[in-house]
Amino acid sequence: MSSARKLTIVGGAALFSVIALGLYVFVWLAYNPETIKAAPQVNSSGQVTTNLELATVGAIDFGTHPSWVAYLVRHDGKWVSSTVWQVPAHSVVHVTLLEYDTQTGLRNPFMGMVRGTVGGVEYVNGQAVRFMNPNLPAHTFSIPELGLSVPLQGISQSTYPGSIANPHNTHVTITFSFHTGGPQTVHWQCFVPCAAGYLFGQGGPMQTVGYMDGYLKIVAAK
Amino acid sequence: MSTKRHLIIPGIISAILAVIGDFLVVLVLHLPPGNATTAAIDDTFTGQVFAIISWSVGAAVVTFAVYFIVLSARATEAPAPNPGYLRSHLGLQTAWIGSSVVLVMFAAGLGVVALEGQTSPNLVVPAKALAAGAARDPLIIQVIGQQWQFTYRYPQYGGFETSQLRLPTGRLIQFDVTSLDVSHSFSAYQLAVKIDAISGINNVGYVYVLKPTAIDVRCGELCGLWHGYMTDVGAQAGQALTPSQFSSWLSYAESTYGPGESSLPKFALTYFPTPLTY
Repeated sequence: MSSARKLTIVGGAALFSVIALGLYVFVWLAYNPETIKAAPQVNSSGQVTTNLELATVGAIDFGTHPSWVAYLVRHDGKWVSSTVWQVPAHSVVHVTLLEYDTQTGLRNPFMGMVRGTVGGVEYVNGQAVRFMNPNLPAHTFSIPELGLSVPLQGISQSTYPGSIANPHNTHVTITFSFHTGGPQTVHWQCFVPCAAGYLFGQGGPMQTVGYMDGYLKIVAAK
Repeated sequence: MSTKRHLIIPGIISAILAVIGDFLVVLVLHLPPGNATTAAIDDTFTGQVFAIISWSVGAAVVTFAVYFIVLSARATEAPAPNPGYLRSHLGLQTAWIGSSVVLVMFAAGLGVVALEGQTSPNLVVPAKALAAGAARDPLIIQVIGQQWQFTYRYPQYGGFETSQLRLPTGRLIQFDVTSLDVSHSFSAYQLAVKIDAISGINNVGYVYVLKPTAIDVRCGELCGLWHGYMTDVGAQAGQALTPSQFSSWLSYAESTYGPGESSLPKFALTYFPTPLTY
């Protein structure tokens, strides 16, 4: 093989690699989940409140990574794939979460304690829970900056995890409320190492906004 | 003009600049991390020493450079270069190499002493408290890192765990630091403490807090997507409390977090729990 031909092959491979890498970075940077705004309401005592309807599924079933575990949010009556949500400052957020995923267990059992919610409690299928057996959670909903952490009980391990598109099985209904405090943008995340197929369950959806973590934008009421 | 005069004039100017700058460094600039702990005082002192040295050397270099640039610009005729004279000038070479060696060895020595200070309780506790036996009864706080939050266990008080760091003043604190997943680094700014948190490893560091203070905790090791958010600051910041405040907090914490102790693993220096599924 001539030197010119070798040079062409090596140069072509290098160019292809650079283009492929550039495309990957571009797609990664361009991915920006839509911000879902929760509509504020004012209750009879003048307190601003919002309702946030969430779901977690074992596999999102669509998009770039259909097999990834994910959070979904209900917006205008439809389940939407976004983990960036906006709520009013100094309000109470009432969360209703449908847990479709199976029990995984906590790496740190301390995360089985409900912290930062109104009354220090969550309701699992209507039952008040302050401490959860660390083997039961499928995920957690945690905002460390607000001192909030709620373990989310999963469905039985013997049950195939369902999804919004294919809700063939039962789910666990979890409700809790928390105060937002002043305007700021905080991150939220799951503390269960739930990324199947990744080292220690911590890669993929655990490291990508839009799946098991995101932002909560707390904005001043206009 | 004699050769000595070209040394004396910029030498005097740089000495004056050095003295002014050094006073500013010590009296006006409040270098971090402050004076809340003996380690912080040591770090602040070390910072002042290096700032003084840096400013003094920098002032001398800039002064001499500017002096000779101006002198050269004003000269009516260029002096004959004599590099051979400079290369063989034993006095200049000795002064240059000697001063460099002294500065580098001084910096190395200071660094070794500072490093040793974090790992030896006898170097952390003030002499008076050391004589009273403070080094014999440290409060053990286990720092557990995980993506992306630090939590704290208090094994001498039942082993409860919290998400906020609380510790008392006037008592030796022993941090046992480990991780549940990737490598983190427990960095408590006002305490001047930075200890790596590594899975399967127990890293130990000591601190003796002199006065109540807020403690900003950050992860000092790039540890994944939310590394930048792995902080305890603002409302979530740690607190160094007076002994009576700490005692009150202990009562509150034991009643609040105590009921969850039965779910926690038995206290150990390291943990490597396996999640059920993966």
